[in-house]
Amino acid sequence: MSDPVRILIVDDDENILKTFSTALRDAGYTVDTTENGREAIEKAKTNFYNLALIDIRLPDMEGTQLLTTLVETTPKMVKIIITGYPTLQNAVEAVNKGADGYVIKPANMADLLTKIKQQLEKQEKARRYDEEKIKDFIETRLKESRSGEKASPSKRNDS
Amino acid sequence: MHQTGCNLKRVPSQFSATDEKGSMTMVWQYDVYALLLFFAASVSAGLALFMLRRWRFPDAAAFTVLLLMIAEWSLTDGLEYVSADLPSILFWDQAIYVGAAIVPVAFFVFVLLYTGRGKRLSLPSLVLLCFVPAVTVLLRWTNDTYHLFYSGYSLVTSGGLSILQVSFGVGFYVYAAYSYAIVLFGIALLVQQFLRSRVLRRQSVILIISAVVPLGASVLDLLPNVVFPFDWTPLAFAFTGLVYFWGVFRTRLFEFMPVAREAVVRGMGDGVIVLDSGNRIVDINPACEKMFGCGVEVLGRSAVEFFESRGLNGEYLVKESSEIVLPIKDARRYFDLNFSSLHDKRGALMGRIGVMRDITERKQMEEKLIESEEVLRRRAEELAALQATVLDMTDASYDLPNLLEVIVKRAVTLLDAKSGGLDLCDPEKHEVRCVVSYNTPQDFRGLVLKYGEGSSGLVAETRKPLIINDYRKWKGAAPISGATSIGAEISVPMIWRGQVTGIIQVAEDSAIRQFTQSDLDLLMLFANHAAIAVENGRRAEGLEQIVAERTKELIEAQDRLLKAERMAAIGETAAMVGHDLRNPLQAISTATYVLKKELTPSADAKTREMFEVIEDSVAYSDRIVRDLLDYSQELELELSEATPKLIASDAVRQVEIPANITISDLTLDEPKIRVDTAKIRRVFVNLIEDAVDAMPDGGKLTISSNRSDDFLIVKFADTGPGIPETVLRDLWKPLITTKPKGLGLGLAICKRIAEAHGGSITVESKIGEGTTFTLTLPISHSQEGAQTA
Repeated sequence: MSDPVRILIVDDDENILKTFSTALRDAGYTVDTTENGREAIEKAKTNFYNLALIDIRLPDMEGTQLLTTLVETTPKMVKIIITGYPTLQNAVEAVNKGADGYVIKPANMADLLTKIKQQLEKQEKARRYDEEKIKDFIETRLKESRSGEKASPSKRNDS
Repeated sequence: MHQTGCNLKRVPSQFSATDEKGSMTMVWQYDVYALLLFFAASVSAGLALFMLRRWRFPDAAAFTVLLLMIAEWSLTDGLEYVSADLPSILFWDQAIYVGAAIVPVAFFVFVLLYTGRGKRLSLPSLVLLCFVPAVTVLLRWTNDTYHLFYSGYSLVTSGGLSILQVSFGVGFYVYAAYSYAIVLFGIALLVQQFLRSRVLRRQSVILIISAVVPLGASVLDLLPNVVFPFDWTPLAFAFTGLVYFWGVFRTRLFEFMPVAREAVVRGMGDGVIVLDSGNRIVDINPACEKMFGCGVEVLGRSAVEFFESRGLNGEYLVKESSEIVLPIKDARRYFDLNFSSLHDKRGALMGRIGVMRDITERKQMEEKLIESEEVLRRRAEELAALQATVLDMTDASYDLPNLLEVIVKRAVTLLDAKSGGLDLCDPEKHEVRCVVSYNTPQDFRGLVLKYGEGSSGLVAETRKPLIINDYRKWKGAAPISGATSIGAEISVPMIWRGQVTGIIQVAEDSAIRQFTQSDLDLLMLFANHAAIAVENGRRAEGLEQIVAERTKELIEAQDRLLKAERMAAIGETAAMVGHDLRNPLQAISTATYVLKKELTPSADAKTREMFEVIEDSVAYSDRIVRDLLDYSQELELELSEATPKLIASDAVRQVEIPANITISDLTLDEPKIRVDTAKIRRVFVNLIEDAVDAMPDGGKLTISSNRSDDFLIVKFADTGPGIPETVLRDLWKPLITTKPKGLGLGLAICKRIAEAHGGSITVESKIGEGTTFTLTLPISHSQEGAQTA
């Protein structure tokens, strides 16, 4: 992974933004923060983020609503919901709307980092798989085109 | 008839065309007599024309015929007079006999009809009456051949007049005799009429005179020895015509005829009695004769005497209208007697006519009506009293004892009696108990009688009302002291839904008054209402009790609700606070993580310990927040399958167990239960943590499970110091804690979770020995219990 991993934190609590970004930067991630949903959507449009930590309750919209928007605009971005309201309904809704993880406040930072790492690896794996697939696809196409060149005259002969 | 017998015809002879010309042409002579006859003919003809209007009345028709025949007779007679030659005279003489023959018969028929004898006049009798006139005409007209009417005749001229001189034959004599006979008979009938009734005398007189004068004139003419050169007949006819004229137009001869009187008055069902101005009875109709039980002999008697002979006051004769009573066939009959005055044309009192109408039936109806009105009035009064009583009774302001007393007082007043009482029935014991004793010589309250005993017991048993004329002599009297002063008594049952609930009694001291059926009816009606009122009263009492109970329950429920609301409010606040605490906790937790990571390599023991304190405090704070949120939230169970062993081992792993405490997990792999595993694990963790907390100096916690019927029982037994009883009491209440740390929501939450599953948690504790918590859960957990908050 040559490119730095970029993480966006969406939370209206300043101290959480500060501590989370510190801990994540220490872990080697590039961190960007925002305190509301509207800005989060803007940032996700203009920048690339591998992962977003989203508080379920934001001053301008519900976290789930933001989630829905982000799933549409940046489907490959990993989205982890952090909530102070651990209810089943919340969790189910989050997962249905495309959340990759669901963490209850106060989260153990070590656990959270592990979870982030796992998600990023999964993402990377998928990326690599995709790339390989594309490579395979191109190679296959090349082979096909080459063999196609040979085959085509014979075809003509046959006919 | 007058002219019939004339033997001389005086004919004026100064103008005789026959004589001079000697031909058959009629010869005219003039005479004052002829003029009179013509005048009489015109009057009669005119009257006949006038009378034609009344042709449909038989008597008027007969009168019209009479007038016409008189006119014909007068006219032909007049013409005979003015004729000078024999053929003309003979011709007119023949014509005369048409009228002359019919006039007597017409007169007679008219009189018969006029005096009310028309019924006897049948067609055959009319034909019979006309036989002689018919023969007369026939004989006269055939006289030239047979000479039966005139045996001979000759024309005599004397003093310028031509006169027919005749000698009568047998036909003439028969005719004359017959005519005189029926005319005289008619006159006789008129005279009788005149004598019987004085009311229509004037008319009778007119008719008599009009008949007698021509009759007299003809007799004068007939007398052979009276040589009177003067014929009366024209004068008589002129006179008759005038009299009739006057009679028809001035005395209304045909407007109030005796025949009408006969038809109406005689046939009337009402009695009619006519008195003259001297109060003598001048007429009485058959109906009236029957009423008085008398006959025509009373005519002419004094009415006062007659009335007094019938037991009637003479004053009735003076009054215009009165009611009289007469005995008819042993029955008293009532009559309405009305007198009206009869006046003549000049307004002078002629007499009075009394009309008597039988009003016995009306009178009887009236009496019956008055009687039934009286009954109705009495009933209405009774009902009004009853209604007032019922209204009074149903007044809600009475409590039961008062109501019963009011009932008795009202019953006594209703029957206008002296005293009364009320017994209530006890159908189970078959007893009646006196509860009200009003105005009685002795207070019977509290007196208990068996069914069938005494009057009230008997009514209770038979369910039928009872009238006792004298209680002292009554065989069924109960041996009660004081009852000897009861005379007449009436007892009725109060029946409610087919059950005798009580007996109302009304009594008199003496037996002088006897209670009647109508008293009984009234009291029964009253008792029906009283029974309802009593039942309402009883219900109201029961109702009050129920209301009191319900009110108490309601207050308690309200209290609980208030407490619950307060708790809910606390819970809501706690949830809010909890959530808001989670952010700073997160920040603290993350910051600590960052710091710890940075400092760990170089950190000394003290720094590490401090980090641990921070981490523990955050964890503990988190637990409090979780408890608060759990307690304030509604419980929603997510059921999954688990075993006691699985849950217990998970729970034990979650709890940090100090070294001085040993955990003995004796839970089994069965039975399988369907529970909200996470929540039940919470319960386990809580109970384990509490046990650990309870044994700071070390000890042993034994967790065991077993199955009892359909329940799983899990026991958490520690060897701690035990819980004091004062604490045990409030153990399950939220926010109560004995520990220095925590909100004290743990056990409350456990209890809620257990109950939400349809289970329970109980505790047993012995000071110095330890505490055992017992969790009971149904094995086949039903979904219904899952929603319990």
